[in-house]
Amino acid sequence: MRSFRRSFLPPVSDWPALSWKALINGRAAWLVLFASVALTMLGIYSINVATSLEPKGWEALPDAAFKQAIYAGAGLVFCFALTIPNYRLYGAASWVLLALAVCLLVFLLVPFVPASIVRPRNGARGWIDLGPLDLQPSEFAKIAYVMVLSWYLRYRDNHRTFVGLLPPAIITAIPVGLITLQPDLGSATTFVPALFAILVAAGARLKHLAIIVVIAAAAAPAAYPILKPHQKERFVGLFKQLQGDTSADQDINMQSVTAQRLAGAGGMSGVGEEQARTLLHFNALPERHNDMIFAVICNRFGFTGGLLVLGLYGLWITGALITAAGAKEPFGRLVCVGLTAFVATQVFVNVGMNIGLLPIVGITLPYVSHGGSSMLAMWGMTGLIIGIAIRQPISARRRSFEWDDE
Amino acid sequence: MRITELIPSMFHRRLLLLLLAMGVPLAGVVAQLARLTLSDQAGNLAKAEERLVRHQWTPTIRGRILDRKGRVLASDRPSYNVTVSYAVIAGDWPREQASVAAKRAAGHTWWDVTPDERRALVADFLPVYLDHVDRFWTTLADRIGISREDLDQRRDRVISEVERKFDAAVRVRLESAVAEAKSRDDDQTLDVLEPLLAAGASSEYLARIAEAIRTAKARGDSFAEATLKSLEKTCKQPIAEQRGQHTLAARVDDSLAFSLDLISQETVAPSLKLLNADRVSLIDVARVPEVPAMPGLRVSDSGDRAYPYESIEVEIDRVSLPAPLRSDERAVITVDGVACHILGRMRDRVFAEDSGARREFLDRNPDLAEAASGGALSDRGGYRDTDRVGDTGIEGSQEHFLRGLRGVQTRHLDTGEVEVLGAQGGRDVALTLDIMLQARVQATMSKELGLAVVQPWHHQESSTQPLGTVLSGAAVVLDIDTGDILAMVSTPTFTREQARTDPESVFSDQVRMPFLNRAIAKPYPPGSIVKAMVLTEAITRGLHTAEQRIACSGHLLEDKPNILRCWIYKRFQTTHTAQLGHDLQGDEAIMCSCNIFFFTLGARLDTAGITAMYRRFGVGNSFGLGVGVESQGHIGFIEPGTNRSPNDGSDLETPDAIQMGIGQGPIAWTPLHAANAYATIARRGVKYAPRLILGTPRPEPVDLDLSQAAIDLAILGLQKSVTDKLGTGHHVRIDEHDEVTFNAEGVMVWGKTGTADAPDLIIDPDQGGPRRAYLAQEGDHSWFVVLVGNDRPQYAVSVLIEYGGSGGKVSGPICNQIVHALKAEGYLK
Repeated sequence: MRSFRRSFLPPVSDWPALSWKALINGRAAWLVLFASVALTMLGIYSINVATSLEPKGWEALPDAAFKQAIYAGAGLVFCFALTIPNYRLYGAASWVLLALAVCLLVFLLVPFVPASIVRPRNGARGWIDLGPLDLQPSEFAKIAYVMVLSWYLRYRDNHRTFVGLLPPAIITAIPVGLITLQPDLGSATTFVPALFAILVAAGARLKHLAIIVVIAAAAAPAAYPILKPHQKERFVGLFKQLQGDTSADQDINMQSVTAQRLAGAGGMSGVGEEQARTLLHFNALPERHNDMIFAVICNRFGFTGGLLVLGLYGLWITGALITAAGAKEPFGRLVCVGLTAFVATQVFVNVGMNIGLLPIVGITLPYVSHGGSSMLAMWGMTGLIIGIAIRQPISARRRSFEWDDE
Repeated sequence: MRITELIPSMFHRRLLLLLLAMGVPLAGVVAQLARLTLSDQAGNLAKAEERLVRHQWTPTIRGRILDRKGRVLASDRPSYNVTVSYAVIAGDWPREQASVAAKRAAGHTWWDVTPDERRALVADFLPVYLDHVDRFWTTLADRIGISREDLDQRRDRVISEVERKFDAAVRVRLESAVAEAKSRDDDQTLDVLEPLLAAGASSEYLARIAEAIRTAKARGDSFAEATLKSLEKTCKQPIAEQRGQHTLAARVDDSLAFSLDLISQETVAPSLKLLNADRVSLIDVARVPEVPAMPGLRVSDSGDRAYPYESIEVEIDRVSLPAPLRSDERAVITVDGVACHILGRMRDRVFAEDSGARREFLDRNPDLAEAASGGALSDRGGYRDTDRVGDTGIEGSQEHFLRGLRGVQTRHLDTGEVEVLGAQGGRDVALTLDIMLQARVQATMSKELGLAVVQPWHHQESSTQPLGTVLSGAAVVLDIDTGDILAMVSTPTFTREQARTDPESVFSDQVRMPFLNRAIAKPYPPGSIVKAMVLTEAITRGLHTAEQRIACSGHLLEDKPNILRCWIYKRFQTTHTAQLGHDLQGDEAIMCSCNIFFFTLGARLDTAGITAMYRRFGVGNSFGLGVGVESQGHIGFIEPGTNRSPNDGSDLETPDAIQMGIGQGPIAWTPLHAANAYATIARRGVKYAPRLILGTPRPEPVDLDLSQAAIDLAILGLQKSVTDKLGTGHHVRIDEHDEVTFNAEGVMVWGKTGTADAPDLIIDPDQGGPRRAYLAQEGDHSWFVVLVGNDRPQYAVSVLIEYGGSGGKVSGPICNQIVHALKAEGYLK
């Protein structure tokens, strides 16, 4: 047993220092990079299939796929640029970064900003029009938030008391509140699992967290009346679907039902590319290059394709968590966990709404869905994780987050 | 081993916990993905592929109805109706549209503003759409070529008609709610609902319910309030007419229809000049959706049915008419509604029964079902809401053959390929009728010619039929060799226009009953025309012989001179034996229509024999022509409360058989029965089923095995009846002169008169209500049935005039004109 532990999960102090050399030798950040590249490529291909009836080859990609390829290139550059400075510098600057993100979020809500700068999409004021790129500040707010929270918690132990959970909650409430006002309830809710994941990793008492979850679950129905009508409608639609009631299939459930139909049509290994283009085009799935891209992948590659996508995220998450496990420094550890939580949450919510398990909310599939801000933010996360993986000190200044389990 | 020993680092344990926590949603996601892709794949793929094809019906054409000479009696002609949706007509559309536009233009702001602001936004947009619709009405009126006032009036008519129907529907809903509460013994609900039905203005139900809700609310009666609110919801459900299209211009010409159809598909950006700009900061006008240039407009293919021979001008030579009507000038008579009873009518509404009938028809005709299915698609001949349906007559009975099969255009959206399954027109139906002969026969019985009008020489004794009364009746012309019905007229008839615009005059006139096809639908006592059949039956049964003679004693029972009299005794106090100087043989008895002779045969045949005779000649069976109600006639007494008699003689006694020997008593048949019986005699006892549709399979002819000697004798009697001076059908006495009844040259006639004692027609206008029943018609029905031909009987003609009086005087001249009509149309030389 001891030899197993030694070979597989050696005590942190026994781990060799991570370095470029170590990474090249097969360390975990490779998994993250590999998954990111694979998902991005798959995304560009799927957007191509989803948005054009005729195959036009890689040299004449349809508009959306071409843009996505550009975003991916920009993302890759952004990723490696982020690895250049020591990631701890970001921690030091994290409050400033979050303040910047909050400013942008506030800017979105300023009523007299003209529609040429902040153009509401589907009723949500979430984008700043920058010409070639529509900047979605909430995507970057996620990263800044993870860094702030990780920086804040890195040397503390007061979050192991109930009252000590209050400051992290307040830090969370600021971006969540601003994003909810856009309104983009979907993005806002992804912050909560991230908060919990970071707290769990940072050694908060599970009992405290469990109490909060129970109270929140009990209080959740009370929040229903304050939802906007279109938000309520989606819940009603989901309930109808789960009960097998098809009465809403032509209206509120149209998007969800179409996505499920197309995903299901893929079968075990998917339909051919040409048939996929045809089916997608004439079934007119809304947002198929964007939020509903997972249905497109399942249509094209079937159950196998769906599993492959989930497997790539599994790889990403595993790589990120191993990086966290290997990190000797508390800020890096928590950043890895926080980013993983965001990615995992988005994957589950997006895939869930594509296959009829969750109501339709505006959440993208990381690396795959069309969108510049999302792509840059995601590759930024990849860059951060690589940065953390390659810049571990020889030994930790002190063993972090090690207390006796309650 | 404890986990803390296995993984000493708490942080690593927590990471493992987080990783494991992700397993739960992962399992759910994978399971659902497997369900969709692996177990439901085929269904999902099929549903997704359905979107790749669009099916579109292409119209078909209904089959034609032809007469025996190929004249087109009914055919489809292209025609279009300009219709507008009720929402636009009733003015709901601008409000709906304003609401849509306001919501779109406001975008996400819509959810942020107060309900009052939303209402204000909608109100801002309302003038835009009111103006749009107003301009639409002006344009439409201009295009159809009527004034705006006229168009507004048409709209108002539609609105008031639909509102009337809606009010009626609300009342029915209210009543059924009450009935339902009653069936549940729910007194509490009844107390709330019943006051709403109290007598008063009929159209105020919704207002009453609203008022009752307010009262209940004020009282704090939450039960009443909830009950009434749910009732209000039910009652407010729109009726079909409120969702449908309504015709504002019917049967417009092609070019207008096509141009309107094109415009109806155009959309335009609404003119926002009238938009109230107070709240413009809340909205983005670029998002205001386009609207149809002509909202709610649709041009529908009304597939008008044309009946080119509905109205026919007929020229009649008046030289052959009785002296008072005779003239050298030919009469030109326009007859309307020719064969309307037979061809029938179409209706614009589809009933649920139609689809059921079609399913049954297809079940019986698998080959037609196969043709109609068009592969995977549903019945191409199935009924859709806007279809016209054959309702009565041939249009109704041959509906499934006349009805065509729509074409299907299948467009494969992915390949652009278009598959066309051509529409298949309905089958033509050819009738045995000769429409020109039909028109001539109808003209013969017209008021204009004067034969079917009470005339002085009729010596009409009925108080209800003064001189000049137009008489109702029926005539049938049968081709003896084939059993084809060449003409079948019932007067009065009606036109389709009349049935549409003044249905009361067609369907509610209880005396003249224009809708009734008297030739087949109403049974009449036959009177003396049955004497030929009675003679053949008695001889065939050996109850009498061709040589045997019977004395006419004036009255059958020696001691009772007031009953069972011969007509000659009743009128002239003499007997046929005295008139002829000897007792009567069968042929003479037919010639003079001697009642005593046939009373005697009736007594000999008795109930069983006389019943068998009538049944042999078709009474008790209808012909199944498929042109609506047919009477099978009746033998015996009508059972109270029904319209049926036993038809087997079980309720008859000898005195009844004696009466039935002269066609009186409990016996009745239709003019078609009469013509067919005579045709059977002419075929020497071989009975055919008369037919109206060419090419339909028929039952095999039946040989009645009648004594040929008896037939010879009967035919001799029929000939003498019209050729011997003593024959009842030989002449009509007019103004002290005897005029020969049949005067067509080169034509042989065999015939028999009948003057049948008929039950009085008493009309009770309100069926036992306060209005008094009155005697509408009384007297005798007048019959004349003949066989005619150039050298042998070729055609059988029966004529019946209701309450016309004497058969020889009234129906005789009409029958003569029908013989002339057969000549005029080339059936006789």
